[in-house]
Amino acid sequence: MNRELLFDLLQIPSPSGHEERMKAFLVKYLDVHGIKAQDLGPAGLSWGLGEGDKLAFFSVHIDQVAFVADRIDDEGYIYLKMPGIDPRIAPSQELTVRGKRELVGVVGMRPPHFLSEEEQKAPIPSEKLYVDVGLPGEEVKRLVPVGTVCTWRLEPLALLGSRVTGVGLDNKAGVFLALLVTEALGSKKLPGRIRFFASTQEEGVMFGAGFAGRSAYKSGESVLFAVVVDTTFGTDHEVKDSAFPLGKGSTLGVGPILSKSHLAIMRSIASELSIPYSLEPLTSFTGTEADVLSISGKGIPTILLSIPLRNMHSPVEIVDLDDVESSLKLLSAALQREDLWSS
Amino acid sequence: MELLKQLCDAPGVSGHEDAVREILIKAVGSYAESVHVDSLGNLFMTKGKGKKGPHLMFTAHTDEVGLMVERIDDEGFIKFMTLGGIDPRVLPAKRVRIGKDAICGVIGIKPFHLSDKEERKEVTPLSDLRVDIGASSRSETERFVDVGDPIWFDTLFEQQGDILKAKAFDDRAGCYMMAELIKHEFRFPATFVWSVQEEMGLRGGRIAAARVRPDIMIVLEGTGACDLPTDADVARRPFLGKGPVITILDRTVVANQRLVELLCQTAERDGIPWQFKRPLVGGTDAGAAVRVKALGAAVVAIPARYIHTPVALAHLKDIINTIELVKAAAERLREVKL
Amino acid sequence: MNKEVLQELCRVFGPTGRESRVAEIVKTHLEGTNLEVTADVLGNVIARKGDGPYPVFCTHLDQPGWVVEHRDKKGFLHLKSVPADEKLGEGWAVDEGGNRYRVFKESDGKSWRAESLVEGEGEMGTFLVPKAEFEASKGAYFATALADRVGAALLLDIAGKANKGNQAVSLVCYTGRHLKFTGLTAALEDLDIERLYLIEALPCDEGNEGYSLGEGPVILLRTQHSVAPSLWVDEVAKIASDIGIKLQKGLVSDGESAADTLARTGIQAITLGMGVRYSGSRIERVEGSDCEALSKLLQGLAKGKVRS
Repeated sequence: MNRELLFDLLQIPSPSGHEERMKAFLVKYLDVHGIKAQDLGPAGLSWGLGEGDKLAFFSVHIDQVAFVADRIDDEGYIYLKMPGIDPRIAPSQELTVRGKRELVGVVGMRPPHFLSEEEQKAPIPSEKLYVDVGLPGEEVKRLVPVGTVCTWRLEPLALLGSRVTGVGLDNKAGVFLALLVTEALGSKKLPGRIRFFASTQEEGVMFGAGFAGRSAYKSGESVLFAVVVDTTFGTDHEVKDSAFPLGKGSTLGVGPILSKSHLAIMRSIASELSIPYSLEPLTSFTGTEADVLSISGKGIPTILLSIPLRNMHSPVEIVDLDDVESSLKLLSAALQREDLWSS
Repeated sequence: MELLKQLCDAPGVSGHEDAVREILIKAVGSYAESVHVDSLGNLFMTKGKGKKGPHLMFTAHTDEVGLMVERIDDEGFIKFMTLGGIDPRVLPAKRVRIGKDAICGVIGIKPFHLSDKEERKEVTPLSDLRVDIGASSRSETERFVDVGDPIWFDTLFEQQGDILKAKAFDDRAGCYMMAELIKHEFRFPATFVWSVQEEMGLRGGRIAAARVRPDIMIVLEGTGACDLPTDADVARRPFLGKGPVITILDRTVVANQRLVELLCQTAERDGIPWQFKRPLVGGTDAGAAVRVKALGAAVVAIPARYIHTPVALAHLKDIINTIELVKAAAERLREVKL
Repeated sequence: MNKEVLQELCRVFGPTGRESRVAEIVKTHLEGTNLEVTADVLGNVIARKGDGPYPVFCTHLDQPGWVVEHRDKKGFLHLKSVPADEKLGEGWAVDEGGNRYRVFKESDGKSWRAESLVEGEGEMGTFLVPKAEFEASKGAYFATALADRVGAALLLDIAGKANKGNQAVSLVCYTGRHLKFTGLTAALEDLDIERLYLIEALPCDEGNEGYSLGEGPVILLRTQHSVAPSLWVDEVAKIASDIGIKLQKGLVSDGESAADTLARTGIQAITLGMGVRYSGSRIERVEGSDCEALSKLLQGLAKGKVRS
C-alpha cells in the first residue's frame, strides 16, 4: 500500500475551518491522476467518477481538531481554547502556532517545585493552559492574532507491523482510503456516478456534509445512497466498550439512522469476499457526517464505515493499515456492484 | 379498535417501522389517491389533488422508543442500548421481544434475597442490565440475535371500558387517528405522512416536509398526561379523558397562533372538551418541518399516562374527540389568515 | 442609527412566539424604502432589492420572556421562561394587553412565579416580557431587550441608506431566536445569498472576551462549534480599514449560535456585532459609538464589491 501518501497527508495541517492546504494538496494529487476536483469554497472539495443517471455520495471529512489562541497576555503567553480536546493531554506538548509567521511553542506548566501538593494532584484546568513561544509580549501580539490555530508538531511514524501513529489520523486515514478507492475505481465501469466530498468542519458542525446535502437538494438531484468514511474508537488496555479491535477490519454502522438494506448488501459482499469487519451499534447520533447526510433534502440512505483508531483527538492516534486495506477491498467491490445501486 | 390494537401491538422501534407501515397501507391505502414510501421509510398518502389550497399535511410518527442489541456476552446475555428517551428505572424485570423473529426474552434482575439494602437504594445502571433469551452460550444467542437488532416491549393492547392499555400510544394513537382522518373528504389537497425516526431527533418529519412542502402541518400525537399523584400545587395538565391536547409552544416550535385559536374556538363551538399542553415540554416533527419551510404548524394530541415506558394508559373518548376536532377545524381553515 | 427607532423597538412587546408587533414596526419603517418586503407564516420579515446573489444581513425580532403554565390555588401564576436560563430578574412584567404582573423567583431560586395586578388576568399560555425601560446617557443606551432589538435598528439604518444606491441587498428579521432559532433557516430558504452577515449583540461582561465595549464593532472568528471562513473575515477587515473603522476580533463559546445552526444545514455566515454589557438582564447597555461604527461598516458591506 502507498504508505507515503498517508504520511504526506499526515504532514499537512488541516484544522477545522482552515483546510486550505489540505484542499490544495488533494487538488494537485487528483490532477496527477487525471481527475479534476471542484472547489466548494469553505465547504471543501468534490470530484466525480463514473457516469449515468444514478448518483451516490462518498464523503470524508478532511479537518482535524486543533487548539485555538483565545487571548494573549502582556508577557506573550498564549491562552487556548480546545474544542473537542481533553485538556489533560495538553501540558508539555510541542505546538506549531500558525500565526502571521509559524512559531514553535510549548504548552507550559509550573514545575512541581512551585506547586502545593494539592495542585499537583489535579489536572491543570483548560483556562490555565498556555503556549509559550519565548518571545516578548508585544511581538507575540503582533504575530499571533486571536483565533490563530495551533497544531501538534509530530511527524507520522510507523509502529510495529501495519500500525502507524500520526497527528490527525482522524480523519486522514479516511481521506487516504477515499483516495485509494478513487484510484481503484478510476478505470472501472460503475453502475452510476459517485461524487466524492472532501468536506470541512466536521469537528463541530459538520458544515461540509450539510453543504453537500443542501446543494443536491437545491439543484433537485436525487441521491441514491451515501457512503460516509470516518474513524471510530479502537480498543486498548482501558477502552473496551463501544470500541473495536485494530487489525480486524473496519466497522459498519448499524442503527436506526443508517440504511438497513445497504448494510445488508455490504455485509453479504464482505462475507462473500472474506473481508473482516465489525458491526458498530449506534443510536440516534453517530457523531459522523451520516447524521447530517441521511436527513438532508428528501433523505439519503447512508452507509457508515469507520476505521478503528486509538487515542482519538490526541496527537498519538493510531490506526492499523490492514483495516484500511480491507476497507478498500470492501468499498471498491461494493461500489461496482449493481445490487448496491438498485436497493 | 381492531386497527388501534394492531398498531399498538406491532413492533416499531425507531429505524424498524416496517410492520406499522404495512398495517397502515393494508388498512387505509385504498382511501388514498397515491401511496408512496421514501428511502427512509416515511409513508405518504395523498388525497384531493387539484383542489384549491392551502396544502395540508397531517403527520404522525410510526416509531416508538425501545432498545437495541449492543453486543452479546460470552454467556449469551444481550447488552443493549436505549433508542429514544427511556428511564432506566422502568427496565428491570420486563418481557421483551427481539429481532426479525420476535424472539422472547426478559430483562433480568438480581433476586431480592441476594441484593442488600444499600444496593436496592441505587438505580441499576443501564450498562449492568442484560436481556436473557434462555441461551447458555454466545454462539447459541448468535443464532437468533444480531448486533443492531431492535428490542421492543412485549405488551399487549387491552380495553377496559373507555380505558385503553398498550405500549406506544406515542404515537400509534396518532397513526390510528390519521388512518381515520384519511377516510374523510377534506376541502383541500391533503398529504398524510406516517413518519419514521421521530424519537431519534425528529428526523423523518424533516425530510417529509422537504418533499411535501405543505402550507399547513397538523401533527397528531400521543403526549404525556400529567394528572398523577402529587401533594404539590403544581400544573397537572394534561388530564386523561379531558379531551384533545393543544400545543402553544414546545421545546422546538411555536404553534401558529391562528391555528391554535381555530382549534380552541372550534372545540368550544362543537362542545368538544379540550386542554392546553404545558408550554415548553417535548417536541414533535413540526419543529423539524418549520426549519425546512415556513409553514403554519399545529400539534393536537391525546393525553396518555406513562408514555415512553413499557405500558401506558389512554382514554377512548380522547381519541374520538381528537378526530372530530381535527375534522371540524380543518373544514374552517379558509376562515383564518395565518 | 436612529435613537427614536431603537427606542420604539426596545419598548414593543415581542417575546419568542409573539413577535408580530416588532415585525409591524420593522415593516412600517421599511415601507418608505425601495425594498420589496414580504412576511412569511412564521413571522419572519424579509426585504429584498435587486437580483441575487446579494449580501444578506440578518438579525432577530424576539426577546426573552415568560409563558404562564399554571395558576395555583393561592392565585399565583407559575411561569416558564424562554430561554430557560435567562437572567431576566425579578420585577415588573407586562402581557400583550399591557396588564402588569409582579414577577419573582420561588424560594428554590429556580421556579418563576408571578402575581397579576389585574384579577383574572394571566391565563395559561399568556406571554409576558419584562416591563420596558429605555435611557440614553453618557453616549450609551441602557434599555430592556436592547441586545435583541439593536440588530433590527441597524438593519433599518441599512435600509434607509440602501434607498439611495442601486446595489442588490436583502435584509432578514427572523423569529424564535430564543427557541433554538426557530424561524432562521426557513427565512433564508429562498434567498440567493452572496455573503450572509448575522448581526448580534455580543456579551461583554467578564472582561476576558477579547473585545470591549466602546472599542468598535466585533467580528467573530469562531463561535461555539463553527469557524468563520478566513477569506470572508479578511474581506470584512479590508472594508473596515478602507472606511477607517477599527474592527475587533472575537471568539465566543457560550452555547449554540445562529452561525452554528446555519452551518449544520450547510450555510456559512459571518457574525458581526458590538459588545453588550449586563447581557440577558432587564437593562442592557451598548455604546452609541459602537452602533454608529457598525452601521457604517454594514453600509460598506451592503455596497458589495466584497467578492474576492
